[in-house]
Amino acid sequence: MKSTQQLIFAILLGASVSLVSCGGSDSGTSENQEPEGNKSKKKEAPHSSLLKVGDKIFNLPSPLETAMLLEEVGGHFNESILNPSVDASQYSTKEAQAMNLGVYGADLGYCLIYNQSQKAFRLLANCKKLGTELGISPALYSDLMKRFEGNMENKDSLLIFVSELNRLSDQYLKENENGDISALILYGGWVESLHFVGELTKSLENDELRIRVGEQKNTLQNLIGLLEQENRENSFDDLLSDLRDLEKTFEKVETSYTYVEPDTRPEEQLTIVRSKSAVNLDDALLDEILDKVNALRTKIITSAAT
Amino acid sequence: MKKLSLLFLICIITSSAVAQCEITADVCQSHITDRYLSDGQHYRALLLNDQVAEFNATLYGGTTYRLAACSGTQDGNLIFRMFDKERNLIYKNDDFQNAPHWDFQMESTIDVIIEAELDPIAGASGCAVMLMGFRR
Repeated sequence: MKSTQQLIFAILLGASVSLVSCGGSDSGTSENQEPEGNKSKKKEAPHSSLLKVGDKIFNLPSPLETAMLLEEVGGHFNESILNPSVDASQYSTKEAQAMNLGVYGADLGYCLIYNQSQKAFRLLANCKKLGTELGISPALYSDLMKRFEGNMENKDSLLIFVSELNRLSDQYLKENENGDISALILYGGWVESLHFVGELTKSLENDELRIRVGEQKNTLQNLIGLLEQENRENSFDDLLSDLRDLEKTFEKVETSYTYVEPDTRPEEQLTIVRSKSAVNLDDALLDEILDKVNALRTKIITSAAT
Repeated sequence: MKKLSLLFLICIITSSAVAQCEITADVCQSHITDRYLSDGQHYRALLLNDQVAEFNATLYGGTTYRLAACSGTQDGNLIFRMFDKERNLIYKNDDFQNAPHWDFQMESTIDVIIEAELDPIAGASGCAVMLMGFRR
């Protein structure tokens, strides 16, 4: 009797696990078919990304947010700072595809901020190619490209479409146990954004840009925390080694923080955060950081190039 | 046998939570209106009982952020609190009927920790989803 009960439980457990492993994928259009490579990865996944209780969640700034800063401080559009590789198909490994999807995504945001919608549309095609290779539903991109074409002159709408695409892609990857891919995309986007800031500091003396670089000290720690969490197969060891080296440089950035009572306004559902912070880094340290960031970027955009 | 039963229960809860997460994400996204651009990331965690999800972020000066925090299919199931890195409390939504979203206008850049947990009234387990939007 006992063994019968155990057998029933085992069958139910198997069914339950199957449910979990099937959960999360979108249904619907024929474009939602996933590449074979992604299907095999799902089968190998030993855990659900949902079973992350106890882990921390790390946020990285959106590349769009950084691009907005560049425009605000008076930076002009500079095509030469984008990834010069126009052919995304040269990125043949999963890691290279993910990191460069992040790079192209940041380039796309930069172009949109400067009303370069035709260039942005071409970059979107690269994003679609890499995203599809990584298992992101092609339907997400096709839908966006249609909306994009109908709103080429409407910058605000295009920014909303792209930020929504990024969120849905991230959600799709996490639902399909590809948190490691998501982390690499964020890494590529972060490096490219910081590269933009660095390039602009060469031609524009601006404290806001210098400060924004110094403020990446904590963001870098978040990035390292995120990649460590996703480094279950030690495939990010080299990358983490590079980032820890960069972290050592960032440790030289002086920071200060003073807590000030926040001002909460319930009628506006708003809290004004009045605490003060400051960062201080001299030219030599700024250059040291940006040189290391450029080295990381070069590694990314030349990775797995055939 | 007890262990097997427990494992079975966990599997059922997890399976249910996976499906619930997708619905919760849709509910939560409705709070990031067109005035805000999504930060492009989807944050989620399965919470059981009194477990707390910890969310680490840097919020940049000059930007207003909207944080949406949801669980289940209706608003108000998730309690969230924001602290600075010295653990000074900046905001807690349980002072405002578990408001599902709140805006934070940053005068300076600061590093924050956001803790989220289920309201015990709403249930013992569930998928917690947090989304962030911004405007300058």
